[in-house]
Amino acid sequence: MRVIGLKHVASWRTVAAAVAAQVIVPAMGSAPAAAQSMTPMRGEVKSFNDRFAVRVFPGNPYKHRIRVEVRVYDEAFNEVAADVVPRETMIGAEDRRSVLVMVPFGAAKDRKIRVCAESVPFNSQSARMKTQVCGRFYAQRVQ
Amino acid sequence: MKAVARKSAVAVALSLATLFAALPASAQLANVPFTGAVTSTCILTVGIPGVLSPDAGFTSLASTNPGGLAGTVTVLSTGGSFSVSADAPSAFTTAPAGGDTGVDFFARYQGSGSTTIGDTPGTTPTPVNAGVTLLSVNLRAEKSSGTFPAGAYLTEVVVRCE
Repeated sequence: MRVIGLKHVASWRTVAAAVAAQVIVPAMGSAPAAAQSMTPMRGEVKSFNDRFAVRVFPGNPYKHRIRVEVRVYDEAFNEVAADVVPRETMIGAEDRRSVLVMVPFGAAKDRKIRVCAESVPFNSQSARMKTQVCGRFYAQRVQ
Repeated sequence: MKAVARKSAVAVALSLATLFAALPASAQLANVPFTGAVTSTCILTVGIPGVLSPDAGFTSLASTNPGGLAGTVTVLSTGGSFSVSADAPSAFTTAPAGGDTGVDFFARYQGSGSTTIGDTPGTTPTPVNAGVTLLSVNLRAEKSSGTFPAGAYLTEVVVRCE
């Protein structure tokens, strides 16, 4: 698991404050229960900033802890450069974690992205099963 | 007789009035509301990881070959419009020298439970109904030329719900 340095934490706080002030994420309203692999899985975001944020909650449905990585993809499943805090995390049995994802708009006025929680629960066999639960989000830049 | 009966009736009425007056006045029904919400989500739980086994000619490694085993994944959907798919890998994560060259991978899956899915190519997404669907995932690695050399092989199929 990657250890987040103090500098990283500080920047996260700054960005989180900015996000709270400038971004609307309607899907954040309901608190998901435990044992869910990721919530929310759909959402629309309006942002006054040059980037937008989504908070997702990867969950661990297993009886043992797993390592979960959160990645961001576009519609064609090309990976998108985004700030994900934390990008990689250990989640205890039947627990969930809050992960903040921030994506730049670039020159676009809107963006469709996939936020995917990925995990590899078993390593022992010749054909491992990697699970990937992806939420689809549509973001609009409000000017 | 009538007077006696009237007095008795009055006495009973007074007794009942006294009895009810002594009871607490708060014996009333009240509804206690409960609210709940189930988030629309998809849960993937790996049951059995797959096992690849070689065919008689050692030109393919597949979970459908004798000795192989399909991987299983349980999909729990609480609603929404979610689809599942299974991406084949592009290479082995671990393979002996020469084992990873000229290899093509093919993933297929089928499902039972709340959603019945026939044998489907992994790249084809299939909508799942709300409830629990058990996916059986097969992987096949074929060598375009030569045979698979001896050694340990490891790769992974990505089962996706979105």
